[in-house]
Formats: sequence, C-alpha cells, structure tokens
Amino acid sequence: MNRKHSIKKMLLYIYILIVLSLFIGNLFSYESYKRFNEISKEVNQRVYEIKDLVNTNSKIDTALSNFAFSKDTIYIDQIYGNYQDLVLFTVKFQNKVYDRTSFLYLENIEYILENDYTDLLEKTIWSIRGVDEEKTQINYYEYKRINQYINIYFEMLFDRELEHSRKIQNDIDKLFDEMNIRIIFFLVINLLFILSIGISYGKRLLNNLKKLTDVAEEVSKGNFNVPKIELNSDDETSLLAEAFNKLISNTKLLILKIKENADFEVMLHKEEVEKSKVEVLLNQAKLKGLQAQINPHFLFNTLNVIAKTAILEDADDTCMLIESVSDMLRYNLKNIDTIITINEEILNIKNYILIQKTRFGERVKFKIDIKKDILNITIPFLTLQPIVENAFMHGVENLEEGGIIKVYSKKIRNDKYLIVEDNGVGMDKKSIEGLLTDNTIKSHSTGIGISNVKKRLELFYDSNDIMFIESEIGIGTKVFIKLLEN
Amino acid sequence: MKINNYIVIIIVFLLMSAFIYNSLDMINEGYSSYKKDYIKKFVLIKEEGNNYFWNQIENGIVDICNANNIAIEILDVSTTNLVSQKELLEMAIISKPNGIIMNGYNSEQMQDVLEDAQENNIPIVFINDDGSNLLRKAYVGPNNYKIGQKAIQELIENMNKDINVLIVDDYNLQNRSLLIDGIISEIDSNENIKLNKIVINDNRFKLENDMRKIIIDDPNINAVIGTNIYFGSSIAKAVVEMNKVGEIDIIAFDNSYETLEYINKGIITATLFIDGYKMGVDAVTALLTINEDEFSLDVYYTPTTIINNDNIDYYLERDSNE
Repeated sequence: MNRKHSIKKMLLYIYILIVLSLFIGNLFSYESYKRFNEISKEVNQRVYEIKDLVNTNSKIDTALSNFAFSKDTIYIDQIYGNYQDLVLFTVKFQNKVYDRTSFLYLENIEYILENDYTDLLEKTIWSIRGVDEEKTQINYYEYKRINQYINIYFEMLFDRELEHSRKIQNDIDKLFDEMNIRIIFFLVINLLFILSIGISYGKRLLNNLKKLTDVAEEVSKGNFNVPKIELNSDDETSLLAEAFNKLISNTKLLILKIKENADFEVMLHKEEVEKSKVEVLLNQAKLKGLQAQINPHFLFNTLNVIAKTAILEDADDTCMLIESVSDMLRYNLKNIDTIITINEEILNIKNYILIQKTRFGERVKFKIDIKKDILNITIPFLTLQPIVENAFMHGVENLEEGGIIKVYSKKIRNDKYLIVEDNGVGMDKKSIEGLLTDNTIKSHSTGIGISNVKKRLELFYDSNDIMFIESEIGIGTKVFIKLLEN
Repeated sequence: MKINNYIVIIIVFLLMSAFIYNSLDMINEGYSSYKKDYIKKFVLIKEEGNNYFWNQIENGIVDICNANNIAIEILDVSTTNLVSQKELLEMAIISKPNGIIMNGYNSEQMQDVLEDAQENNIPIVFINDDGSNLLRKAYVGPNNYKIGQKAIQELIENMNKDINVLIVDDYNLQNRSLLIDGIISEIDSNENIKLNKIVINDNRFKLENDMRKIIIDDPNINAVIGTNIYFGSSIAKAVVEMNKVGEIDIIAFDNSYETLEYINKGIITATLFIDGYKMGVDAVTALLTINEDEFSLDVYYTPTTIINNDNIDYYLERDSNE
C-alpha cells in the first residue's frame, strides 16, 4: 500500500531537514568567511598600492637628481614613464576610495600632478639641459616644495587608509561575531524546529502504538469485545491497526462458527438417537415378519392344495382368491428393508384389492391410475399397503355404499406425487397428527403403522416433507407421497 | 501532517535563509566605492591640533559642508609636518580650492601667500581672529572689543566694591589687543575699577605657579581676567590653593566642563564664551555666499554667551545631556 506519510518518509524528511539546515549553515559560514577574507585582502592591497604610489613618486625624484648629475637622457624616459604611471595610478585609485576626503586628497594629487608638478618638472629638466644652474636650483627647489605637498597628501591618504583598514578590521571582527551568532541562531532555531516536528511525530507514533498494545493486551486476555481501533495517522501504524481490526473481527467470527458446530453436533447426536428408535421400529416389523414366517412352506403348500381343490370343485373365484392371498403372503414375507419399484407395490395392492373386493363386494370401488413414467421409481417395501388398508379401515369400511378408494399419480408443480384418496369419514387434525406419530396404530395385514411408513420414507429419501395428509371430516382423506427420482 | 505544515516549514526555512543571506549583504555594506558627489571643495587650516574650541569650529564646518555636499580638506600642523600656517596656506592654494577658512591672527606675515590666493581667485575667510589683513573676504568670529567691555561689566555687576583687576594675556596679538582695548576702555569709563597690570603669559603650564606668586606679591588684586581659553581654570586652581576663594573674582573665556564646574562652585565669577560650532557654520555660509558672487558681509560677528551663577544650572544640565 502506498501511504502518504510512512514512517520511513517521515524519518527521511527529518533527516533531509537536518542535513539541509547544517548545509545552509555551513554554506553561509563559508561564504561569510570568504567575503570577510576578500575585504581584508582588498584593504591590505590598497595600503600597498599607496606605498607603490609613494615609491613611484620618489623614483621620479631620484631620476631627476640623477639626470641633474649625469645629464643622461635615459633618466628623462624614466621620469616620464614614472610620471605617467603616477597619474594613471592616482586616477585609478580614485575609483577605489571609500569616502569623500580620500577622494579629495587624490583629486588634489591629480590636480597638482597635472599642473604645478608637471610644469616644474618640465622647467627643471629644461634648465638642467640648458645648464642654467641658478634657474635649475630655483626650479628644483620649487619642484621639491610641490613634491612635498604631494607626499603630504599621500601620507594623509595612507593614514586614512590605515585608519580605515583598522576600522574595517574592527567592523569585520564585529560582523564576524554577529554572523556567527546569526548562523548559530539559525542552526539552533532550525534544529529546535526539526526537533519539535520529530517529537510531535514521535509522540503521535507512540500514542498510536500504545492504543495498539492496549487492545492487544485486552485481546490476549481473551476479551474480543474491544472497540475498533481508530488512529489519527496515515502511516504504517494505521495499516497495523486495520490489520488488527480485521484479525479481531475474523477471530470473533471463527469463535461463533465453532460454537455453531458444537450445537450442530449436539443435534446430530439427537438425530442418531432418533435413528436408533427407527431401527427399533424396523426390528419390530421384522419380528412381526418372522412370526408370520412360522411355517410359510406349509402355509403355501396348504393354500396351493386348497386352490387346486377349488379348481377341481369348479370354484374358480375361490381359486383366484386363494392365489391372491398366497401372492400377497409371499410378497409380505420379503425382507422389510428391501427396496422395490412402484410397479411391484401396485401389483401387491391389486392382490389386496381383489381380496377386499371379494369381501366388501360393491360397497367399495377401487380405482388405480398410475402413469407409466413413475412405475420404475423405487420406494421402501410395504409403503402403499398400510396406507390403502388405513383408507379401508378408517375411511370407507363403515360406509353403507359408494365408498371409493383411488390410488393415482399426479404432478403438482414440479413434483410427482403418489396419492391415496378415499371419500370416507375423514379425520380432524388431531387424528392426522396421531396417525403420523403414534406407532401403536398398526395395520391388520402387515402390522406396520402409517407412522412407520412415514419414518421409513423420510429416512429413505432423507427429507422431512415426503408424506403428508389432507383430510376433511365427512368428505374424505388424501395421503400424499412425494416421489423423488433416485 | 497536512500540506499546510509543509508550507509552514518551507516558509520558516526560507525566512531563516533570507535572514542569514541578509547578514551576508551586511558585510558588503559601507565598503562600496565612493563616487564623487561634491562640486566645491573648501580648506580649513586649523590653528592647533587638538583644541576643544577649534574642534567645535571644525565640527560646525564639517557638518554644514556635508549637508551641502562640499568637500572639506582639513590641514593641520600636526598632521602635515609643515611648521607654519603660512606653509599650510601655500599647500592649500596649490590644489585650487573654492575657498579657505583660517585663523587670521598673524596674517600680516603671509601677505605674499594671501596675494597669491587672491590672484588665483581663492576667497579666504578669517575665523575667530580678524587679522589686520584686508586680503580676506570676510571675518567670522567674536567682536573681541565688545567682549572685553562685557567682561568688565560682568565684574562690576558681581562685585560691590572697588575692583583691582589683573589681566593675564596671551601673546600680544592683534586679536587680543582688541579684547584688551575693550577691557581698558571699559575700565577707563568706570571710577571704582582700576587696572592693576597686564601679565603676558607664554606658557600655560607655568601659569598656575606664576599666579600664586602674583597673588602673594600683590594682595590688593581682587579680580583676574584670563584672556586665553585655557587660562580660566589655571587661575582658579591658583586661587583655590591660595585660599582666596570669594576674595578674588575670575573671568574666563571658555565653556569647558572644568570652567563650568568652577562657576558652579563660585570660584570663577563668569565666563564669556563663543559658540564655536556656529562660528564654523557661519564661515562656510560666508564662503558659499562669496562663491555665488552674491553680496557678502565683511564681518560676521558670532554672539557671545555669558555664563555665571544665574544660568550655570542650565548649561551644566545641557552638557551632561550631551
């Protein structure tokens, strides 16, 4: 994540500030030293320059004296050369002076050099050349007098320069001190400033970390009910806080899930207990089956003998009835947890109906209307017979006539249903509830109650809404079995 | 941290840098090259090297010259190694200034140089002392004759008895003689005052000693006038030592702190002093007027101030404030 103010950036920033202020301080220190040095150098230079001027002047004097003695014209060149230098330097120096008085002195020097001085120099040279000793003396004396004034001006200038140089040195000393104080002041202020930034930032950082550690401590004690950490910062600590918040909420969720799982296991346990109850029910059914198996071969043989006897006596109906009973018995003697198709179950029902028809005659009508597409769907063994029997026993048995029992399949919405309908006395809600839960109500022919059928269906399909009953007193009852494709 | 903080930091940094940079500029200030800014140059030839009164004159001259952008060259025996005022004047003339201010007390000895100056159209103003030379364009300074008269009047006002006055004079110069003329004329016109004698003092370090002798020799003296600006305090010291305070009145001619203190203590009766600063200002003003070819007065008298017991407090206070 790219953060605006990471700790790294902040540290870098403070570091740069410190380096920068030290750098500027040093730079100024160096610069001021350089400037002071330049001024000092210049001041000294000027003093030497004035001395040079004085020297040049005395060179002219010497050359003039030499010329007077030797009359060698080489000295005239020297005199003019030095004179030119003197004037040039004087004019040049005028541009360098600090104040009016120094300038005035130089101006006077220049004026004298260009007027009286040069006149007298010229005159003296000419009088020397003309070997006019008297004139030479007068002119030379005059020249010396004027030269003395120039030297006085040089001297005064020199004194002023020295004075000035001393003043400047003093000023520089003072300025240097002040400069140092300012630089130190600059550094101190800057460092204090940076320090204050650092401290305030550090404080905030520590504050944030404290908040984090406080919450961490609480959490370590097992208290997950801590308020969300909110930090007033934009650095890594806020990232940490976010992560921490997420961690806490995730942990909370996890704990909740574990609790839920524990509840689920308790439920599972209950379900297992329930399942074992179902097994008990099945065992009951098996027992009943075993009781009925006491001597099946003997029973079948006997029934076959009776059937053949009936044919011999031309009692075809009796033979058919006995065969139906024999088939039903054989069917019922199958293992209780066998899975069979609806087709087989319907065949068994047809045998049952044949028997009952013989018994009730025209009082009850049977209608079976099963679509072919559900015939191969598997259901638990002996599902329909107890229901149809129940329709007989409690629905239409007591009716004088016009009892109808329908077994048919129907598609309601997307689900296929196997429905057993009668137009008997009907039941109230309490009776339906009793029928579905009370396992003492049992079928006469199979010994298996509706509740047993329902439980087996539910176990078989692993669903709770497989079988339900709609009934109205005086109108009839409908038992719905939802069929699920395996 | 918000953006504002960054801006604040940057501003502080810039301010601090500017503050330091400004200090760097400070180094160069005052050392820049001078450019000629005057059109006239005057020369002041000073009487003596380090003299209280002449320093006042010099201050006045320098101040007004600076105010009018005039270059002033100050020539002084002590700084030039030249021995006489005459030589200083010669040197001053060589560079053709627009005017020269000098003390005119022995101007008759430099007639030729003054003529030279006149030839070169360099006006000369005499200051403090009007010599007898008429080659000067103007005189700026005290009316010494009147000052002499005032000195005696001051004595009469303060002493209710016959006055026997001793005069201690400088070299017998033109200037002083005017002062003494004034004193004598005033003595002559008053009956109860008598001139004891005039003592010429040529060494002010000897004065104190001489005074003691004079006081012992002549107990009749009850007033002393010292014409030189240095004399007042020396005479006062002698009077104090001889235990004659109150018996001998002293008139001085300066406003040094020492003299003012003596007046405050009642040892010196009064001092007649001239405002040197104003004299300097007037001298330059006179030269400027002459330079502009305007009509200039021949004489600018500088007014005299009398300090005695009545107004001493004001002057002491003014001095202590300065």
